[in-house]
Amino acid sequence: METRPILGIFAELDSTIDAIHRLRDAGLRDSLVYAPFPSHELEHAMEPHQSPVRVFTLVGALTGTATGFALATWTSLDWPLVTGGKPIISLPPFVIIAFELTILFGALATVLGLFIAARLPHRGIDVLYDPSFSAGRFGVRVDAPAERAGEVRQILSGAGAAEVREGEREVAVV
Amino acid sequence: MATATPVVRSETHPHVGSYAEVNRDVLKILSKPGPGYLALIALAAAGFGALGIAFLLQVFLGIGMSGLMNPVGWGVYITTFVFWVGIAHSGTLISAILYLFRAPWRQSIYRAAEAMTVFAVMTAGLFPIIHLGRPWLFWYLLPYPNQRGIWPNFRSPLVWDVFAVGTYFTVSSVFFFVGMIPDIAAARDAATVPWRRKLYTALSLGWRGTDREWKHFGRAYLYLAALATPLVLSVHSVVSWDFAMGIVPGWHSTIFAPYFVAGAIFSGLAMVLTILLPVRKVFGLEAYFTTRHLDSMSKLILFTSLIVSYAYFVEVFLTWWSGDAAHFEGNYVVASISGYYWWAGGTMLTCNALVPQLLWFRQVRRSVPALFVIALFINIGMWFERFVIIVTSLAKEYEPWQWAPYKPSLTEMIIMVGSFGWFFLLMLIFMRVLPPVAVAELKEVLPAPMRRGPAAVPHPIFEPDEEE
Amino acid sequence: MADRMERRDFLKVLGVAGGGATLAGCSTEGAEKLIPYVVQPEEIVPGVATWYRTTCRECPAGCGMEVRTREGRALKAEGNPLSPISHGRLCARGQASLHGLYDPDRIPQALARDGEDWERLPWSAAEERLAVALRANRGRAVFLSGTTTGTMDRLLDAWCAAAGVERVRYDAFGYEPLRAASRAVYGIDGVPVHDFSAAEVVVSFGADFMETWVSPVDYAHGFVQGHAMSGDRRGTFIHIGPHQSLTGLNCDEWLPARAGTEHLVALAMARAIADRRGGAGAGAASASAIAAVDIAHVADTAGIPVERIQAAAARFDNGGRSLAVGPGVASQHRAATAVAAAVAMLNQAAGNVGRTVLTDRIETSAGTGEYAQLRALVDRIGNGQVGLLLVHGENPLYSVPLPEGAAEAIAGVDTLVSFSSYLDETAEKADLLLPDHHFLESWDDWEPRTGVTSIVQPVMTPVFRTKQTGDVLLSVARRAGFGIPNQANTYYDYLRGRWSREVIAGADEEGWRDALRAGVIVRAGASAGATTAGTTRAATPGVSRPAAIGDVRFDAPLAQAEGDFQLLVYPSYRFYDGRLANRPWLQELPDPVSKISWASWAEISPSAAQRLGLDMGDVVEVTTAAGSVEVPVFIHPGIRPDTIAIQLGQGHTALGRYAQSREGEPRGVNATRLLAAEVDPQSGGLVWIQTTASVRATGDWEHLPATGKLTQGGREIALTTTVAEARRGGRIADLNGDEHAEQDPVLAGAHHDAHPMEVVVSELQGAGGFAPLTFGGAPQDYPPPGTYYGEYTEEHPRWGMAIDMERCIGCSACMTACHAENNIGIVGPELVKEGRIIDWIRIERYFAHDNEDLAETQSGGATFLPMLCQQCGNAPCEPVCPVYASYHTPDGLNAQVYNRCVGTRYCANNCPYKVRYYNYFTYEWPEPLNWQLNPDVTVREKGIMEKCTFCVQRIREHERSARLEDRALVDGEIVPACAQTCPGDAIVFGNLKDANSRVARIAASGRGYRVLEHLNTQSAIIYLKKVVVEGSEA
Repeated sequence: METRPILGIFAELDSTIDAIHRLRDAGLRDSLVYAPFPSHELEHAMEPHQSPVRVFTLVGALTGTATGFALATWTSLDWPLVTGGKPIISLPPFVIIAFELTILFGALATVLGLFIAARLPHRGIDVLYDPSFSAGRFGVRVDAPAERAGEVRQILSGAGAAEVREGEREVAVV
Repeated sequence: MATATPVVRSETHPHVGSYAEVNRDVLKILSKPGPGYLALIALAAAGFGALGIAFLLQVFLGIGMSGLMNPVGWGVYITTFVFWVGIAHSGTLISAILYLFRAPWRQSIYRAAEAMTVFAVMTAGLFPIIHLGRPWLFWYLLPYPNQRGIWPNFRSPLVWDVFAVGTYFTVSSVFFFVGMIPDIAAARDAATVPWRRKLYTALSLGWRGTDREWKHFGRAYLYLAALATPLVLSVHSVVSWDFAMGIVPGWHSTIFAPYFVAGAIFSGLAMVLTILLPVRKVFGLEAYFTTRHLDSMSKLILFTSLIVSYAYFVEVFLTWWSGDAAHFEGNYVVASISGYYWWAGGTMLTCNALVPQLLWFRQVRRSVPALFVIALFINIGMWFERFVIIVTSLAKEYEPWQWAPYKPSLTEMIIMVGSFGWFFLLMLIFMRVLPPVAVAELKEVLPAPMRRGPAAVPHPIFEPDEEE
Repeated sequence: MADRMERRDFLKVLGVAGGGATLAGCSTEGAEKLIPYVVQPEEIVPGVATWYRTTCRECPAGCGMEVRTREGRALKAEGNPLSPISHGRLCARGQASLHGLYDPDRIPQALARDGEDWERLPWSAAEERLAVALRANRGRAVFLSGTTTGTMDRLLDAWCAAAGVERVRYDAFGYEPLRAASRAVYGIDGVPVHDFSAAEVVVSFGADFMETWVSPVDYAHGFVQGHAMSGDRRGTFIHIGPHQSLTGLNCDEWLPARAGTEHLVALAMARAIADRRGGAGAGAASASAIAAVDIAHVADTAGIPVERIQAAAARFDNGGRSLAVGPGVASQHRAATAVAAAVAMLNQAAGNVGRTVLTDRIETSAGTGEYAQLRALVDRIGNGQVGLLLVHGENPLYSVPLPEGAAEAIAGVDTLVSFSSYLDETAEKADLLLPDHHFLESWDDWEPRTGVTSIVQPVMTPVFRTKQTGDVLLSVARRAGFGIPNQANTYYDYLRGRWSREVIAGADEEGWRDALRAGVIVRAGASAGATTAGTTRAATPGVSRPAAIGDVRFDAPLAQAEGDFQLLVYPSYRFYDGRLANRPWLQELPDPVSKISWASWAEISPSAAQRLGLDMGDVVEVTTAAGSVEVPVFIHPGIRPDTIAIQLGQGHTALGRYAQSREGEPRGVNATRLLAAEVDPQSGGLVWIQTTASVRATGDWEHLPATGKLTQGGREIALTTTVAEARRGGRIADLNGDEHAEQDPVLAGAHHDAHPMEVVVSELQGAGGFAPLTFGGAPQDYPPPGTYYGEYTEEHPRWGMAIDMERCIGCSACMTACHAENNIGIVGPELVKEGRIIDWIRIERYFAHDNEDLAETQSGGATFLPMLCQQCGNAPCEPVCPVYASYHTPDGLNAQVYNRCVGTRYCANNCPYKVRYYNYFTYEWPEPLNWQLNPDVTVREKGIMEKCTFCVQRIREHERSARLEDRALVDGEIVPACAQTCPGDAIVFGNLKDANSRVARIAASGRGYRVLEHLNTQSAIIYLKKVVVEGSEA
């Protein structure tokens, strides 16, 4: 069944949220919101799922810890040279190496997680994207079946959209 | 854009009206620079060039071009290294720690602070290589497999440095860049110049500001902040252990880690002020760096100054209490104020312990010129603090036969000054190319435009400010 | 891990062999030439050192020497253990002789003056010229030679006689007063041999017998035997004179007698002894002279309290086990002959003659000429009576004061011929230069002492196209057509002939070979009568040597007064009379007393400095009737307030790049320019202390290239103890109980196996180290039992040293030996000022313990502490190195891997002893100085940290040979360069784990301690405290 993207551009936060709620009431859940900043109200309205990034962070960090200890220990045993009468496996200094690698791997894994979860880098921009989104306006985009297009336009403008656009052809919603 | 709703003012940025204003005010900076700016760039570049020449000369002729001698094996180079690592601290501190604490005055300054961090680390990173006797072999310090089967000695604080500073650089850069993606997108959307448009399109990674992107972005940023915070504290601790792990009287002290961290934050905040105050003036960002910001930073500076001063005192006391001549006479404070380096010690105490006490006064905290001068004093003072710690301790150690003063050479001074050239070169380029103020996050603390009357203002933190 | 060690060793060997090969590459030709010369060819194996025994000729003492060569290159000089003169030791001068051999500024071949510059001559042509000059100047030719003994002396006499050339002898330091006096008192014609080892009480009247006086190495060696604490015995050394040089600083008590009064003090002591004995102990002749002395009056004149003279005398009257020596050059004033006579009488009075003063033998090399003869010659040159002057072995235009215009006259002689190897002040003026071989390239012999003949043999082919003077003379004789007795084709044949006639009469070729291998022939029972030294001289106008004590004038006048300071000019330990100023090692070596290198200085007392408002390095103008010099001051607590002392040896206007500054300017000042050419009428010697000088501050300040400090700044580095204390102290175990002994790694070996922790430890050691220690005990209980720091493999030795400060006289020979052995760079004066000198071992000289602030002159001596890498078990330098360039070897050394070092200098910062040295630049060895580099030791480039590793190349060499010969290492087999050359045998090296090793036994002495022990570095060097004799004991 053919769907077409419809975009409502809003100036105010509350009307944006309004629109989202109305759409949901109308059973149109397949929507996407553009915002100039991370707004908790919006996020709440979208009833989001837990972000997977934290898993990346945890796994990365633990890998780092293990790598740190492993690297320091193995290299010390690879050619054991005593310095200053200290043990070949001198744990206290190795803790530092392990700590640093924990942070390093953790951070890199987090970014990796972000990129994967948020599909970044993202090539190109939707035809319906409006530069004013990064400036201060909000956008609500719905991919509705062609026959409900009118209804959607009504809901959006009803909620107080400053402008409503309709995509000509199919555009993948991500 | 004209909106019907009455404009509600933010508590933190009362002079910033709408979201659009933010973009306008910030993004206008990303434009064609004037002659003054180009002159500054040229100056900075010249400084860096001088550094390069002096360094090459030293590589070819030998590290003897420096003033280093027996028994003082570390001097201006390591001093400047520690100085820059210290500077690098406030960036991530302001950014990460204040983020975790949700300090609302963070937004306007953290971007510049983070940039400062990254560039300061890049500057600091030069010195471990510059100070080597055989810099062309610096990679011996990296853990890479080699046919000799020798790995770095993980018991050596210098190797800890490699890991700590390396990690700090990587994580800060990542933190810096990730936080900037939405703003680059904003710049992209506003850009008119083709090369800027291309650049921002590439760097923004196709950011659109959808709810999904914001959701993951938020979590990622939180975790990065959570990781960066202990890192900040660890890095200067590790640097301090370069000394504290040594047997040298004046170095061998358990207080060094917290004391160095405090000193780092102290100097870092001072450097933030040194940079932001002129920027604020030049680019007319008074609305974004309000006197409230200055006031809060001043309080933090005063606090860290007190910690540092306490460290000075308590070390003198402890070495005296130990009853060991070597440690008491070797203590950098005692040695510096009593001996050959009285000038260095005097500068340190004046700039770091006395001058900041002015910040007890509200008027000083809110006076831009006063703060700028104080910040400069602190920068100088903190450089001398490291100089005093490193040099005076080495110059008077256990073995009286080998007591001798060290005098910095011309080469060292050129390289030290040149490092500022390098730092400001990067800083200046950044100012004009990437959004120096967080466009998106500022909007968080602005009142959202509402159709139905004003909503509650987010984060009503500050007490009402009668002066404005 | 052991395997890897093997591999590293193997690589090291490879490197050495490689270095050897390259060296061989440039010197094979030399090696081939050398082989037929000396010993069996099969002895030259690439990569294996060959040793040749010869005789050191840097000063007349004639120490037996053996030289290590590799692939035909001389690398290292050491003492010949068979030599009674050197006892297998050398002083710094001897160690540095290789720099004379390889001096880049040597005269490369025969040269003739050609206007301003020189014309290169083939030797045939050069000899022809000399022959022509001889014919032309019959009767008007003079051969001026320095100290010569043995075969060369014979040849010179014979040659001069045959050629109709008058021979004039003079020595830089001829000890004329000593010789005159011993003729008068002992009736022998020369300086008697002194046996310091048999003397428990030594009194020196300005004789610096540890530096330059007569036979310094033998005397220093003997002095330590007789003086240093051993068992309960401790000798006493009383120094009498206005100034403390190195020898003086070793005294237990210093009687600062005014210059010119030494003989009175000596007589006063003799008088005191006679009084104690109730009657003169000495001969009737001297009795009268002694009886005439009024001690109180002497005390007044000399400025010493009567009691101290009495006390000194009481100590000196020691049943023949005491020894008085003097005067030295430093106390050679108008009454010097009287001093010598008085000292001789004092020895008689104490009954030392035949016990410590061996009058049946003489030091034949202690002066064979006379300054008076040079003076006379100079006058005749002035009158144009000399047309041909041949100068050999001395440098008169530099080393002695000459009358007005004499220098010009000498330079103006029709034909001035110099045999000098270096372009010194005299050679510079010569018309014909016939450069002699360096002694390490020559065949010769030397008779330092009655009954001792020492061989000089070439250890390598000549570096330059020089020719030995002996050969030149012989072939000139042929060309000029005059024959000489025992004529021979080469000097070698001449020498060989004389040996088979006189020295080893009747010995066959094998006997000669044995002699060569021994390097020295000692003929017991030879007596002074048999000596052939040319000390019988024609009478010199104006000189009347005393024939008996009666003739000695004890009332010689003191110095004339011109200024307020008594000027004292004394010989240099490093440069002798200045002839060695072109040796970079010696220039860089800090003077044992002032610790100043590359410069001149004037020594004045703290109070005098205060009076004149002078500080260290302030430049003063010192003026006498003869001249004036500007020189920076060194404030010396070991000099009388009314005296100023300047050392000889610097201020060369010639002699090459090291003796002069880069611009060719003189380095420092030549003190002889302050003296008039005055002859002592009683002995014919030069009067060295003749005048007072006026001192004026110029207001300038000069940064002296000095190292170190005057005192320990209140820190406890060089510890001292008292005689009583030292007598009480037995082994550490006895003092502190066995528990301590067990904890002490030094003694650990003894109680090793008994230890309960042993199992645990060895398990941990199996893992290659120790587990972290949890230890809650008191600091003094640290380290806990069983933790043998740095010894992480049980089977290996723990190399260590015991250094007895009682036996260290501070001569610094070890420092030069270390430079020679380990390719240590010469940094030059500018970098010394900047504190970048490299001394793997340094001698720390700390002045009197009685006045820390050095406000006044001291009453005793100084403490000398040899400081080198302590090879700590808990080395602070090791863990801080990021690249393992510094790590701990299984046998307890702090290895330093030069190729690995990236130059962070962290290790040096973290070394509490500050014994790590850094190459701030790449230091050069101008050709051919680089020929001396030891192929067994890496040459370091800029940016590398370096340090002592107990001469690890020697350790490994012996370990390898022991392994090849399938035997265990013998205690004492491995000897580092510093320990090898130490005249006092102060440094002992060995395995501390082996309780029976010499080092472990010495280290267990009650005087033993570790420097900075409280840092728990577990260092491998145990110092034995110096014993300080309180006034009451002295």
